[in-house]
Amino acid sequence: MESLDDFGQYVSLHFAKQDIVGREKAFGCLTLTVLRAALVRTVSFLRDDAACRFTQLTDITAVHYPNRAEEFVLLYRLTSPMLNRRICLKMQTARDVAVASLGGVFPNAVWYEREIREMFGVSFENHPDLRRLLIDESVGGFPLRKDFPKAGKNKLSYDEKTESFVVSEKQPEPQKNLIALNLAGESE
Amino acid sequence: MTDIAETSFVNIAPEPATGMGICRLVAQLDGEKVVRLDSHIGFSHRGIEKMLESVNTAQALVWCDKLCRTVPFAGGHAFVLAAEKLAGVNVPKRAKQIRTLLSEIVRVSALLTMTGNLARDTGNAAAGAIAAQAAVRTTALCRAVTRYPFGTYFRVGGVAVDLADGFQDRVSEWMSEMPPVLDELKSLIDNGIFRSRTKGIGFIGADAALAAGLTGDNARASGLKRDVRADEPYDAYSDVEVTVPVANGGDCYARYEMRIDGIYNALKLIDQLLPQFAAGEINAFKRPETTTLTGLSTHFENVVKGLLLPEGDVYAAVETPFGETGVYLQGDGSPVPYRCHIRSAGFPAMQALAKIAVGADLLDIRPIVSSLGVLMTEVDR
Repeated sequence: MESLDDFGQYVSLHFAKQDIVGREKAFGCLTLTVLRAALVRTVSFLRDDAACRFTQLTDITAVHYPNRAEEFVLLYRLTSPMLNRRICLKMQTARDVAVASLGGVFPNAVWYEREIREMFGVSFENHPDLRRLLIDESVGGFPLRKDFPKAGKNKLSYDEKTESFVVSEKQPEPQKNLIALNLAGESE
Repeated sequence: MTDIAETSFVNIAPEPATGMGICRLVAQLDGEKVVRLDSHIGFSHRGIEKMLESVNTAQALVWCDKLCRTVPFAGGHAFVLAAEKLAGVNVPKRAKQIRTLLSEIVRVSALLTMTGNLARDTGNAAAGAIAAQAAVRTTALCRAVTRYPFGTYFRVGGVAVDLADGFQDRVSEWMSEMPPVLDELKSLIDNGIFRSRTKGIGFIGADAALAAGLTGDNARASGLKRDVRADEPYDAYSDVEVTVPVANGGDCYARYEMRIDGIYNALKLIDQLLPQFAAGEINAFKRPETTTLTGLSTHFENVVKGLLLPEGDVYAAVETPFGETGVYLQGDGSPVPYRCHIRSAGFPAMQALAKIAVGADLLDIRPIVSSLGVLMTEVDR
């Protein structure tokens, strides 16, 4: 399996047609679009198969597309240190559907999934630990969603009379991207 | 499983190890032994990924370079590589060489700092001071050859300004100073006390390291032969021979050995690179003549508008002293990234800490965390 096409074909052959929906290659990396139900199976296969050996989970991240019916795309990036190859799995998911956790296949998926849950609000099933990871419990909402204001929702100030911090809601400001972009005539 | 009534909980905060930044570890102890460890991260989370969604590539570099203080180019280097791949920019050879050279010089400085921190955490303040001195000299060299502030020296398409005249001599002079310093450092650090504090402590095997997502020196210390510079050469690494040392100890001592080897390796790479330097452009985007009105307005427009990122997504990884730092970049045809995600190398290391530290003494937590070489600003993003 020298070329990426052959390799992609090899992986697809091991699954039903509807499991792996799409296959593309860009910038020397193969990207497979998998069905939500087939995710754990595909990742386990890629990890265990002798010709794949993607034994390391490099990264999981998500992208929010507010206008789509299934608004989140989750990206799983696997590396094979033995064969020096990378692969990326894409999976579409909706707001109120739980995604199967990869924690059983790769232990380091646990924190990535915790981060995605707090940043995007994607929920995971069979996940051992869904506490917040990077931001405080008091921060409401999901910061990396596109509808979350860039400057944040709350204003933190110190009240000298009560000697405590006060969280108040920010007045929504008109979202300007940049002075720079407006100058170039590309306002939002 | 130990009965919870017999155990006690200890908060290890705000800085579990020297120079790592703010983090909180909660250890469940049975006597002196750690039974369970829970890391609370995020104290230096700045929301860089969110902010990158509102700025163009030139402005984004300011944020990416602030990812970590000891390795100013870590995030920026991966970001410029990703943006160049996505936009199809052909980087001039000299620019690639400059970026490679500076990455290696900075790597020496960062690895020295990490080694010094580990020495401090095992009670050897003298070695820590010597390592810090050498690291400061390295940083001064960087300043002298670039004549530029650290942030935003790497640009999409090349670098900001050319290196100072006679930089080869300055680098060579610094290179000749390094071996005696390293010898002194090694003789100060590598003694019986240090070995008893690090050998067999904080062990993680090859399979576990792989599954935990460890990269860089931490993975090589467990016997995984993996280095992004050698396996997927970027910039000028394809012109030099990168040797990948491997240790099999998997413990704090092996990680220390890998860091020292990393310094020697970086010096070797610089040695190979210096005679190869090509003359030519330092940035793919030529700065227009700013003495004429049209030239000035073109320049203004270029700067203000920024580089258009075409539709598509790309992942670019670089080997930083922490391991593999990567940037996932998605463009939508505008100069502002639709989504930019930073894969930090310390993130899986902090997660693996819970596994590595179980069974260790409370006293050993400091050297274990220190030997992983994490920096919280890089972990939290």
